[in-house]
Amino acid sequence: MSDNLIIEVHNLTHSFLDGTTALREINLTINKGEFILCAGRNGSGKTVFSRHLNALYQPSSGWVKIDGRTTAKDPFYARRTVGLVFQDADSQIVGQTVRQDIAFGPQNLRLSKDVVEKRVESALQTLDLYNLADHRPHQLSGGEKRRLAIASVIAMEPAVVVFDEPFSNLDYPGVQSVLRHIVALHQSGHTVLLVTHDIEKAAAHADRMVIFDNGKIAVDTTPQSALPKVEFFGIRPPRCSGADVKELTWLK
Amino acid sequence: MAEIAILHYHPGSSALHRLDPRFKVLLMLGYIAALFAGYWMHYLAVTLLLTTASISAKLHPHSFKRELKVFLFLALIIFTSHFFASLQRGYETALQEGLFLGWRFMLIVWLGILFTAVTEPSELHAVVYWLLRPIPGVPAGRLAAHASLSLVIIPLLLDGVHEIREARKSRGIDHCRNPVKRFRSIMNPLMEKLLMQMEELALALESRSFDESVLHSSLHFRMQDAVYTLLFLLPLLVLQIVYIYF
Repeated sequence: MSDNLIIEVHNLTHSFLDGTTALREINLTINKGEFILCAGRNGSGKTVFSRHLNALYQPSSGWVKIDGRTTAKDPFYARRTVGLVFQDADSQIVGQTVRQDIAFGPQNLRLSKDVVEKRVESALQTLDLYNLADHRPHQLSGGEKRRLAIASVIAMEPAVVVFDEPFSNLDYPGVQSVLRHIVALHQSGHTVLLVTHDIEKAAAHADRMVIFDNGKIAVDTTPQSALPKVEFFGIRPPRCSGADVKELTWLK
Repeated sequence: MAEIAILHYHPGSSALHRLDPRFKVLLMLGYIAALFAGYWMHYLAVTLLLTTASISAKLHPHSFKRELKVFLFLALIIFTSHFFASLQRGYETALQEGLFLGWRFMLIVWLGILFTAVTEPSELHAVVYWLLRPIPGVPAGRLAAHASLSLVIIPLLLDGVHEIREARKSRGIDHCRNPVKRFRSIMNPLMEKLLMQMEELALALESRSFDESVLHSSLHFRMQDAVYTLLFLLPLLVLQIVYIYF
């Protein structure tokens, strides 16, 4: 295994109990520090794939290795290394205050009280949540909840952060705020996997685009090369898809 | 979300918030015992003590008034059913017993609201674990996790009811006066929604390496907590002694 490789997926197939096959023989490798955009129409298998990286689902056949360890043998290691930000931020909230919710993950890792506190403070600062630290999470706005979900995950200090539809139900400032934090995470050395069907918002910042179609990887290339093909896979192409992909950024 | 103010933890720094959760549980059990063992003086004492405790915890009833209507309606049902069931023992007795039952129900609801408002689920987890751990064969960690997670689920459940009712109103289908039909029409979508939310919550917990044996709050005995608890239990103890011997 290459030193730079952090995720290796080999012949991953996932079938549900009702017989539906969500993923079919997926092969993919992800290097440390990459920013990958996973796109595809609804039901193409993106979310199921993201849950395999966090060992929430186990392969029906094939395997997923995180840092050389298979998720089936060491799910705890997979969860420490890969943080997953869920699409519905509400379902991810378990703490009664913002501070407690962020502390929940590090406490589960059995870290000392001092380390937990340091991580919580750092996550609050990073995600601009300091002023909301003692607020009830359910009273936050959609954008704030999404930032809380990200803070709760980065407090566990994973090397890889997977975002499942992080822009859904957010207004323009909300999208900009969340995107800014995702880009900052990538710049600070995290490997980022962004799962979305709304590629316009993040294509400018990704190194690579993987398009899922009917449980298979149909395209794996740079965003610039992938953009002309996206409509064929049920993804809305960005308005200026002929332009340089870097021009599409929402962070101007 | 977040429309429902009842049965949530309300962050605060009052003495009641800071009280050792073991004493909070002791206080709650003491009050419930007094309500079941006592007479109207106990009810009055519990009412006064709960008012004092709520004021000291900075909880104002007007923030719960919409949700309290549901419980007041249930108290009315309890009163009415008991009143008619006991009429053969005389009008006054039936009226008195019905009133006491309704009053007791509201006091227990109030206790629950106050307890959840000043107790973090992680504290409840710690205290249930502390209580059950010495009992051999009892999965203390799992039961404690269930108890604390139930406090996380209650707001989701109430928010779900609120959302479904609003959706029904907006579609003009909330005119049914039959409470059984209304209950059924809300319960079906609610259970479906709740099951999906629970599945997502379970996955979210797993993805954050949830470990039921990890305590997210630690318990520390403080003498001032014991004194505070005694102050709030003493009036009931005195009343009980008076009730038994005089």
